[in-house]
Amino acid sequence: MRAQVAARNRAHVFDVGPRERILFAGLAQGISLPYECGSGTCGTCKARLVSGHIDDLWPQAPGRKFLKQANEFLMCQCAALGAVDIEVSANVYTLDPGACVPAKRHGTLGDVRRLTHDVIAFTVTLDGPCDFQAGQFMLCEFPGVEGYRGYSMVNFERATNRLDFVVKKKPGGGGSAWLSGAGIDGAKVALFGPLGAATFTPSLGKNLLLIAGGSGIAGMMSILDRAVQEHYFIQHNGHVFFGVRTLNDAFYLDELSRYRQAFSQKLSITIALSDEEVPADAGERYPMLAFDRGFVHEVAAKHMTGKYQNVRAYLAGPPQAVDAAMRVLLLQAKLPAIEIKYDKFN
Amino acid sequence: MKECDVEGGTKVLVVNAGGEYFVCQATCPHQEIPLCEGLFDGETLTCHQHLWQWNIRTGEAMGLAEQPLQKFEVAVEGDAIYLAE
Repeated sequence: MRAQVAARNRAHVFDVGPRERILFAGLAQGISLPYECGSGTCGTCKARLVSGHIDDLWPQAPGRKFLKQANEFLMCQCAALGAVDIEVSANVYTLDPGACVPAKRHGTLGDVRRLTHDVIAFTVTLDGPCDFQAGQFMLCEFPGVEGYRGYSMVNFERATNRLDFVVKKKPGGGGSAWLSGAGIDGAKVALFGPLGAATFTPSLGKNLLLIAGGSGIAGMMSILDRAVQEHYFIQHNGHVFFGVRTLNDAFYLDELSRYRQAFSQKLSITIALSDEEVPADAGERYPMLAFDRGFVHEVAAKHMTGKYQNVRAYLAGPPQAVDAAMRVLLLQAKLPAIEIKYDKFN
Repeated sequence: MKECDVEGGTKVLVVNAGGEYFVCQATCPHQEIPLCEGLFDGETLTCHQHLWQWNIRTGEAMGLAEQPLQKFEVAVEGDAIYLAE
């Protein structure tokens, strides 16, 4: 079936299969349709149906609250029922040559392990190799669990079959509840991706500011993995702020310590504890890391004063934490919006 | 910043920039997000959803924004702000 998208700058035409999400079809054919979460929550892929008919695969999607008119819909949740003409209110370009083109993928779940009382790590071994940018995420569909969940890759490797993820258990969260269940090692997982624009490449040439709350550290670990592999912190500063409630809620501290140890001159890593004073033995247990009390955006603001020159900031975590950090960077630090990168999961 | 209704049902955003008032469209031209939820630093208005930005004096698009902001001429008389026809 033919889908034609009229964007602000030009029109694009692509094929869309039966029950295939229009967003996924366009992205897989190299058309950079607007999206952020890709999973029905953020509303960024809102479009207007000009002609034709669509099937809404998730009529309860939270992102529908951003729809104002009866002919508007979320491209990430709707399939075409025949040829469709669509409008989007943004410029839409074709993906750059050499870009990691999103595609439907399949893999096998393994190495499920608990990092804290409510944080689970897992690995998906893909059936075929995949390239992605540091900071990107995959949409994962688990057997018997309706819909896709977006999880950022923790690792960074070129043409890899291995994708490492981390997820925080949420009350009522279908994906994290399924991952907490027994007997899931070896389960077949469907994925779509890689997705996400909050990406890092070493050619950036800027100092890095990474602010993450909770499991938002996942994509930051991938950025750090790539930056460390490329010895990026020989020339550029890196400032990492990782917010958790208490020290017992923190994870990846050994990995972060290793990164710091390798580039201790230019890389600083601070763990922000929002719900407890910094335990007396924290510095002794993790001598390569700094600790401070407060919300992660407050701690970052305090420690970053006077250090915003030539900075690219990456934000991830709960929406409130991302919004608070964004306000600090725009209003206090006066960082240009173009230097603040995040993928919003409302 | 405050979202206000004007006669005829139009919604607008009134911005107080240190005692100087500016009035513009109430929602982002990108995805109709209410701009009263956005950020204002005295000169630049930012939509919090996708960080589109505008110069509040001119409505000119800045940074990531792909469209200008519709501005309204205003006249302040005492405690009242009037929009030009």
